[in-house]
Amino acid sequence: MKKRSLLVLLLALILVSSVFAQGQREDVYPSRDITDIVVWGAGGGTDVCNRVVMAEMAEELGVNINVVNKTGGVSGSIGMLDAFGKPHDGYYLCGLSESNVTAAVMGGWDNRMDVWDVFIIGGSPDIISVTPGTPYQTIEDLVEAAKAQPGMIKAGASGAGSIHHLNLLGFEKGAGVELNFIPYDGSKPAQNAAMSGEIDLVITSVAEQAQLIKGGKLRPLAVLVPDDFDLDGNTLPTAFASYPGLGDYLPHSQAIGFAVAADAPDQVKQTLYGAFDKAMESDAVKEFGKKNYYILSGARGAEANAIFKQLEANFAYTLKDLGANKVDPATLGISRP
Amino acid sequence: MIEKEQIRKYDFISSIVLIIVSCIILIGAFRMPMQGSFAGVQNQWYVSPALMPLIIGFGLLLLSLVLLLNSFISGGVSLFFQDLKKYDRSAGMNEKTLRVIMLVLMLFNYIYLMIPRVDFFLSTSLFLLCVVGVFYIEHGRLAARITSIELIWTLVLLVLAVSGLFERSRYVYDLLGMVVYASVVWFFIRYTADDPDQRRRVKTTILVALLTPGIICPLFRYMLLVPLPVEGIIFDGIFNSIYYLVR
Amino acid sequence: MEFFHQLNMFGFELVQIISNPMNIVILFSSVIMGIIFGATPGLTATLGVALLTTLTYGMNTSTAMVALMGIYVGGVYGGSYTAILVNIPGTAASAATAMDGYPLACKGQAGRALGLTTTSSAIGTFIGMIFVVGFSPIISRLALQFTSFEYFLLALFGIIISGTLTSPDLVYKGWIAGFLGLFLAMIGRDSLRVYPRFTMGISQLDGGIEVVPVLIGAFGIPQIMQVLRDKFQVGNMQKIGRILPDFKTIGKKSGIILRSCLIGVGIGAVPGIGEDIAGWVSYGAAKRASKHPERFGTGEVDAVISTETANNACIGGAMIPLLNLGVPGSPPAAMLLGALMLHGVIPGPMLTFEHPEFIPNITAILLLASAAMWVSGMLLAKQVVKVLKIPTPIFMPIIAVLCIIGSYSIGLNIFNLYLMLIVGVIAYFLTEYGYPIAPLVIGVILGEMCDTNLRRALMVSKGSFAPVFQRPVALLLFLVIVFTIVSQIPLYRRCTAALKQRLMGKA
Repeated sequence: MKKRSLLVLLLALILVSSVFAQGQREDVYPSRDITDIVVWGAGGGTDVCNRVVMAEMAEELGVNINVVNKTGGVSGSIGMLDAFGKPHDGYYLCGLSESNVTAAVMGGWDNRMDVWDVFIIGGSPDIISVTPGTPYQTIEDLVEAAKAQPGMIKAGASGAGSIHHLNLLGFEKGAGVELNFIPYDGSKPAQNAAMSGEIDLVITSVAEQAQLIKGGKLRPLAVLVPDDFDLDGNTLPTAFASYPGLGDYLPHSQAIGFAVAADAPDQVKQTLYGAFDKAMESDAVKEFGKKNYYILSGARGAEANAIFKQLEANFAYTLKDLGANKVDPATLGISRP
Repeated sequence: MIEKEQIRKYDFISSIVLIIVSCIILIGAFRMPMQGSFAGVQNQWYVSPALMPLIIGFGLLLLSLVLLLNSFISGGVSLFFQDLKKYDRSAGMNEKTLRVIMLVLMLFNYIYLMIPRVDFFLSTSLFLLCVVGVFYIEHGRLAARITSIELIWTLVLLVLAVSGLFERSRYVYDLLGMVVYASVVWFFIRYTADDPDQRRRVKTTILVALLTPGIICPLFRYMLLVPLPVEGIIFDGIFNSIYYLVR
Repeated sequence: MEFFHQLNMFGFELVQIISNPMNIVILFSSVIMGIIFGATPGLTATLGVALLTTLTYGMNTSTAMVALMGIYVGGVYGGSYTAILVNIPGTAASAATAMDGYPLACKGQAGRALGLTTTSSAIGTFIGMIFVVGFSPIISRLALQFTSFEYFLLALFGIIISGTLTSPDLVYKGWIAGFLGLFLAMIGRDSLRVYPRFTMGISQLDGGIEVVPVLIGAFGIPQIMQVLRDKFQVGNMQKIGRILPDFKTIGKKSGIILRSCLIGVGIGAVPGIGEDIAGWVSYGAAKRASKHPERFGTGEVDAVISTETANNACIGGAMIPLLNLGVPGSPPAAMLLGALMLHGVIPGPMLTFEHPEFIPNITAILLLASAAMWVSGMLLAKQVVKVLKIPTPIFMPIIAVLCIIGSYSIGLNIFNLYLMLIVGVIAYFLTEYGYPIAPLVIGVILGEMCDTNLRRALMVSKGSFAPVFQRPVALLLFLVIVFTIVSQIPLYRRCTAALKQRLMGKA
């Protein structure tokens, strides 16, 4: 008999305390720990950026922010589905990047990016580099050689539909050349293949290549943004100067950041904006950006959402033109840029 | 592993299954695009996604045919048909098979039905309670009772999951789980009342069922910062309350 | 000269780290945490490094590295505990250790086996470290010899060798298991053309099948089912045995240890593959070189030493391309790269100029970590063996729960658990019918690499296989593969036996 009453007591205790916990939750945001679900792998660019900024924001908000990784699906759809499936109360953020905008057209999920309110931390411009063993000294050498033998020069970048692949396509169109695209599983393997001489040229971001360029393992030709880029005193020229046609297709810029559900309470969003602004101003984030060759953005709210809308349209129709999409962007309501 | 003489007999079965599997792989592979430009990659036979599945399919087919042949030569096939004739329907299942089936049922219930819906502490504790209860206490009638509770619980969860009822209401599954938990404990107490040795085992079982998730859950949740699958009534009520109180 | 200069710096860093007692505390606690991580099925060194990355964010770089390297070294070693004691490899790296470690435990030599693995792991880590100090530039240049063809051949070699090594019944049953594993790896979007293969429209399968749920499902679930089915108790049939370093045995096996170290460092240095494959290749080499290859799989000491030395030597190997090229040599090293970037250290060819103290610092930490691992291993092993005394009907369900939360923690994905049980039930039948499980897991690990690199290599060569015969490393790998397959054909065996007899007769 004693045991049974003990059991009843335990049950009652649980019920009471759970009600108590419910009541406590009505406090001012944030009163509990926040979870940031990063949709890309641990150790990658999006993950590292999120960890740095979250550490600063946590200080500002006065609660812990746990950064966890949930990868998989197409274009990070599993992580986005999971983060979006959580309560839209601001206690769940989603660490993402520009490459996620293809999730809908690739059939990963059936939402558009406008379900998110995006915060952009920054990104690093893309650069064309060649293996030091090749004869190309400037971007003009490369383009001439590519025009002389179309489809023979092997160009590596991370997989089809990635930001670097889109940059490669933009370069091909803008400069009027045809290259032999060899896809890799990511930027690191692509750079590796360029170092080993398997491919002739590689397109990745400056952040990913900086060490190899400085060490002489790769020869930089040009950055794919309208302005020259300063790499610790060495000027990396822009390809736009020689080929103004690039301006029609480029730049596709990287945008690493995170997001909160767009229909989260306004007070929550305002708190996050404030903390994000403070974090982007902090020395730790600035130092991180400088050391890793990121161009910090700090865009949020309407500004950031507009950038992602633009990216979404760009990616969606590029993929459609390649025939690599699964869902027609028009049916999702994405209009051609 | 089964003994060597018997294994040729089972080779016959597995080779048939493997031949079917390899055919499925080959059919799937032949449906993939062999040529044609896709996602900006040049169109050649060697870039086709079907290349490797074809190699795998044919390789598997070849090896399972060799296995089938070997089973014929070594007499495994004739042994299979001999045993098939001898098979006695009334004999029922032997105890070992029964144990395996019980374990698979409990794992199925835990992984597919409880973890996605019921509070992680509760589901883990209930899983341990049932498994340890059946395999450690070794009380025939009690084991049968637990298995039937487990079966009913599985059916209830299946029906609820399929119907999508209570999908939005947070603690319904947890409350149901607690009812099941209480009834399992009640059967433990009732069936072992007169045997001190089994009483001791019951105590150990309950202790293991409570302590294991009691240690694992906070460790993963608060130290390793792993969000648990479902943080329901017990998690919100006890662990989170204590955590925010202490912090 | 360069070497001595490095050595000097290394000594300086070593003294600096030891002089701070806080470092020692962090070192030991992270090594022990790593051992626990490695020993828990499903939790791997990779996850350990990932989780600790967050926790070490606030520390200074050197202290953070002590913690991260500690958990890495401990995690790779810790896998051997569960492999030996319950036949469920805690990590993929220790799958090969289970082959002979568990039979040893059943023979009543669990203590001896743990003692040997502890010592050989420490030696492996230590020698791997020497390679980091001494031969970094040469090895990283060698790693650049690996293009797509070499990766393809290497992956193929890994699958074939694990198939031939582990089959308890007919050899080709191992290959069948390998093919099944390769098939599982095909599921998901292919990484070259993003074409969905065998996904049956399930979006969770788009990203492919993860290794950890397969590993745990394939090794863990059948083992749990068998033990509970047969009411099997390892502890019943044995006494625990003394846990001694057993230096005598280690001394006698120095040849094996050296070979395993070379294999481990070599495989670690090749980007993309790591500890798991190192264990198998080393096992294969040990079996081939052994006077009694038939004893492998029944509890051979040589086997346990060779696998554990190799997977720990792999750590040093994996650090070489990471530090010199910024290319991680193994999955945990990839995590380490992220952690380093958080601390503002960007590995690559410029590292020696920008942070000249960093490589000696890492090697000093590796040395300390291997020492800490040895000490805590020796202390822990004695206690850990006692778990065998827990009745299995209590112990195995707890292991099951650990398996489940472990596989969940990797991707925070319940779908992985669904997959785990399916793989587990299939693996149960496969084991019952005499198919080895290891090749299946190796197939899943290497399948993607095998597929993508073959097709990419053909893209680069425009459909020609000629590069296989033109590139030295590729040719070597190709010949080894051909030899491995041919040597399994009965006709070949008879021929060599006859030849040997004739030669002996003449002599």
